[in-house]
Amino acid sequence: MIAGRPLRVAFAGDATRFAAWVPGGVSDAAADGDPRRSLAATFVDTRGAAPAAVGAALAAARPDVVVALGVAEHDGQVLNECRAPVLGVVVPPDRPPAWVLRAAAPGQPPDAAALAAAAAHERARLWAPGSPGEACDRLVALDPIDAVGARLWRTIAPPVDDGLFAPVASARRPPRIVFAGPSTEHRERWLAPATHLHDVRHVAHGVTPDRLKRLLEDVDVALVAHASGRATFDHRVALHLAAGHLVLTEPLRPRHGLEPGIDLVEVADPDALARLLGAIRASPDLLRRARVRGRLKAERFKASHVWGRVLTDFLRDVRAQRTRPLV
Amino acid sequence: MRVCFLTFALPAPPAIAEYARRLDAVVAQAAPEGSSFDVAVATDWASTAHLFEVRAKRHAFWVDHFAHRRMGTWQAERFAAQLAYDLPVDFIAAAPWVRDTLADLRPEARCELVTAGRPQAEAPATPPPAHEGVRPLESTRLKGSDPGPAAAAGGGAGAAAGGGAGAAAGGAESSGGAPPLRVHLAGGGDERAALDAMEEPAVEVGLADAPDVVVMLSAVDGVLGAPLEGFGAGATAVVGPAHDAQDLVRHGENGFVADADDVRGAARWLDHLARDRDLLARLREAARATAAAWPTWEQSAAEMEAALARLVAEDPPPQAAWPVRLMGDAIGGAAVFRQEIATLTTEVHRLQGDDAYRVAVQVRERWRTARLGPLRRLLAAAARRAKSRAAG
Repeated sequence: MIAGRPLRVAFAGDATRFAAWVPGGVSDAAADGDPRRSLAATFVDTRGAAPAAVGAALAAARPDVVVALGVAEHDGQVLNECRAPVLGVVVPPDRPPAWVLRAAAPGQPPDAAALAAAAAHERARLWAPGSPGEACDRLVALDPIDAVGARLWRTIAPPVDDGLFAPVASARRPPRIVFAGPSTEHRERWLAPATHLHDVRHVAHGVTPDRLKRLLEDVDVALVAHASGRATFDHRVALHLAAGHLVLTEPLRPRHGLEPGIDLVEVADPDALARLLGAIRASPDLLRRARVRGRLKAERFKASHVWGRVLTDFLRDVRAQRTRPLV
Repeated sequence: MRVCFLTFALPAPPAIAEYARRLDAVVAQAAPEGSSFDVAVATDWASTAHLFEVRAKRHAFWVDHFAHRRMGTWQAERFAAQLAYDLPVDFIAAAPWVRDTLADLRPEARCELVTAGRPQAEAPATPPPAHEGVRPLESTRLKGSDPGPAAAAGGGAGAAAGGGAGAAAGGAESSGGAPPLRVHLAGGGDERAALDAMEEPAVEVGLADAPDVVVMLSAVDGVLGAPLEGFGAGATAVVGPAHDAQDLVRHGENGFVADADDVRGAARWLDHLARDRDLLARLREAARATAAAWPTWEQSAAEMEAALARLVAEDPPPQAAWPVRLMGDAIGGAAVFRQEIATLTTEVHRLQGDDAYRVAVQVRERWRTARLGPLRRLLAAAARRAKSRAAG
């Protein structure tokens, strides 16, 4: 709150990827009251938008603070011209850059080495003079490794739109199993035995906000795989836990307080994943306890809670120790 | 009322020893022969193995934490420990967070809340101001400096300021001119990393030496240990988002709750306290008030007696008479544990197929041949000489 009114926050980013990170970004109605009571959130969808249009939308929102979600994809000039402090959120790219896709064999996903090279290139680009990273007052990340070499300010918990939280339902028979995420060589390898033996729905392309809630309601078991061999924390883990799903994921690092075997199940081996799915298909409520515990743990990921804490601290810090003059 | 507390090992945990002393109860590792009780209480997951051997009207399980959460996924005991909470027993929860968790896990079972008494702090009720009464301690050191020499030389915090990162940062004074923040670390992992990541000077002290703040960053539990004890001694706390944090720490009122895996964030809260001494004083005062409102052991024992009496007086609900979830959880736990073993097996196979491993095995085999015996003996003797020189 600022002077008795909610903090006006403009979240900017690709809606297909980041709407679920924002209070009210996907669903207007919160599960337990108005999530925007302390934050007045505006979402500016940057997907396919010209920098000037994004700048105009941000100016029209008259925000107290701007949050640049997926900061590498933003325009440095637009962020520099914001009349409010800018918090940049560093995330790994969800899909390989176009030049990596072009370099891959026809019909094949890019290999791990190409993805690692692309990630290193993207990180270096983020801190270059005039870059979007440099235009931010502070940078945060879900995984500090994503910001190696940068002046990372904090690691933040993965925020999930309050309206996407749902109670744990009884698993359907057979359970509905979903993997959401672009295809990569690593993911294909991890999923191969499971997709051959079981009915796994693969949502390979971004889900628009209007379809996300319906998709989440149609899932019992969510699979989460890293884009490459490097362990990290995928925001989808938090999203699926909030929706009351059983989450089977590759080992996470960091874990953001989630306890493997209790809140979710970590599976490193593709064959073990297929076997575990076989057991779950035979007895869909086999790991119901993990679903219940995971859903409870996800409470700490509510977007209104995460952003409320982070932005309050951010503004206090920026006011005390400004690193760039506001325009 | 005749009460038997079962423990896995003796002496009993301090809380159980307190209850046993005040309620004149029996503490045993196995069922006492020829005796019968009004209520038998298991006090840890391992002691439930003998719980139903005790002749008693009621069988209960006192829970102050969930043992399986403190175990690694690869530990076979974890599998058994989590099944203990599926037994057809009444529960006695030692804290509200335990009661809430049991309500989720076992909604059909009876659960009595008996908040454990506050651990007794050795520090004075009113600690000295942070810049006064600082005595040299072996455990006192400025962050980033070597622990021994400076403090052992007798200078305490002031002398230690002569070297180390803390001194370089601000001559042992914070940017506001205040003395170093007195920090007690209730763990050695992320807690130490947070201390090292601070920008303001800080000094590490023991819990009995009037810390300003206790740091405990576990995401599982432990906040009702050292941080609560610290509250009693007038220290505030920076804690992780552990399950029990909600029972003690109100963010920004009597302490701070850092995010999980956010060492920098925890360090920032500590810096914040070091810079803003008014805030520190407010938080410490609120922490002291929180501790003062916490039940004493006398009150807790009275609550325990009343709770046990209620359990004995009323029959347990019929739906709690059977271990309804036990086999389902056993099968689920076995499935998870099996994939853990599969993961470990895969990793072992991967290592065994790795060129580095194969080369290392070949080198070891050649090294063990008789032809290299003289060289081995020569190097072993040299190693012994180097070791004795280093020792003395």
